[in-house]
Amino acid sequence: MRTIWQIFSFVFRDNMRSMWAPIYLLFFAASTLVLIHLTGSFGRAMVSLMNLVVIIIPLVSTMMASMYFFYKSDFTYLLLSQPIKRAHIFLGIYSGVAFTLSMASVLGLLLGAAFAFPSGPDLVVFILLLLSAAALSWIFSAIAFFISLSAKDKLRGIGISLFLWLFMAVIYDGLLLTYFFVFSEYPIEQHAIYFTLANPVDLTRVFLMLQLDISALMGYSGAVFQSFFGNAVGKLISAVALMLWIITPLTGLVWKANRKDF
Amino acid sequence: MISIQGLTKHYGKTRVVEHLDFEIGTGSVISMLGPNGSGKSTIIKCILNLVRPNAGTIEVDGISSKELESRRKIAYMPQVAHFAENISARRLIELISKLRNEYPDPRDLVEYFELSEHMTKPLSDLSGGSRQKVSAILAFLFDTPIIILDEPTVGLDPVARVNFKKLVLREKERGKTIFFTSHITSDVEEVADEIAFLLDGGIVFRGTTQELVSSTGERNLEHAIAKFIKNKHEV
Repeated sequence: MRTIWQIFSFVFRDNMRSMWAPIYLLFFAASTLVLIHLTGSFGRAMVSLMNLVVIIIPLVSTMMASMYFFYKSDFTYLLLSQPIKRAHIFLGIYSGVAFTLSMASVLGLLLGAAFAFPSGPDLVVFILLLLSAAALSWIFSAIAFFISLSAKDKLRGIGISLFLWLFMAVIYDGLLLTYFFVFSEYPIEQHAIYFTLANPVDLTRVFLMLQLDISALMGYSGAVFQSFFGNAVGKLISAVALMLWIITPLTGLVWKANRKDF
Repeated sequence: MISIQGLTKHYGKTRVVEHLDFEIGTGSVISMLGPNGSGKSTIIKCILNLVRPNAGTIEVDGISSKELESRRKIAYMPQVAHFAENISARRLIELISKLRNEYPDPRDLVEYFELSEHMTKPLSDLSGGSRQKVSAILAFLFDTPIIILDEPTVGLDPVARVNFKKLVLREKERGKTIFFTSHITSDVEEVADEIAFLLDGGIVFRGTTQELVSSTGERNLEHAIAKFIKNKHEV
């Protein structure tokens, strides 16, 4: 743990001194501020903020994690030549990058909301939005690190990571719609829950939509989601699913790191 | 010392190193020469366990290279030194010291390489040569019995190169084993006790620079190497 912590703090400091972390933070602060100002209410701004969080954070996390992995490879080699475990090196670098991304997005959202800080039910939804922002940062950084470590070269690594983002954020929903359209005459509403759990972008989106009380927009599926995600067991399963989306790529990362030629 | 037995490494169908047996004795300076792609970097990576051999064993001071402890015996200077760009050289040295749990004082080496003014600047603000000096400091800072240098003088100015070679010779006098690769023949002639010439994944010559020059009948090492490669390819 000591080694992971040392590498984590070094990478975090390295990221904080670069331009992208403050710019990312300011982007979220400005977007939140503008959306609250334009919509005139925190509740209405939340819907737009949710879309910003579930699309932009996976994209930026994927890009930044992949780029850090490939553009700092000499630093990784330097660490690999030291008497420390490979798993510790990659977990340290990953946690440094993921923490910077999650911290920048969460602080940005907080900063933007500072002038019209929510209260009551809005505050609960806002806290869940912050948690979703942090979770998506950690999830997509983990996926991007695993793909980058597994890829043969920079182009493939970044390309596959970006495609996965596109698939989860855009294509997946298209495929789901096709599935539900084709099999609309069958009782497949329950399938929506399984498909949602299988995609962290959809999972956070549905979860936040239910908190915003706009599940009616989702039709009958909304009622199915409400009955599943609305209770404690459903929420627990959602949290476990999100954790698995971090743990699974990290397990792959450690497994691959111990076998890869550098 | 480093002992390599039957080392074989393939990347897919490409055979980079084939049944290589090679020993580097304690307190010697050995330079590995060979054309680009001959397997020099792969051998270094195998010693550092960055690359897993398909066959063969490597021992570093009697410890298998697969063991983490073997890396405690080695200090390594890579070919290029693009480390974390936004952090200072001082912080980088601190990190590596913490990771190794060894805390030598770097001030002498910093002054030796005339880097005192640059230690607190972000590495991105340093020239390529200065970054290479930071890399050299990391290689010579820890009291390891073995130092591996991968084309260490690339990017160094003439003064730094001379200083670097003096440092290598000083470390040799202290009984350290130094293994380095270089395409700069004057560096090899000045510091290497022996050279090992690598071609197509195997060592085709091992001896002193003078022996290589006289075996080819050429007037200097550079021409001797060129002729040596030409002859081997014709064979």
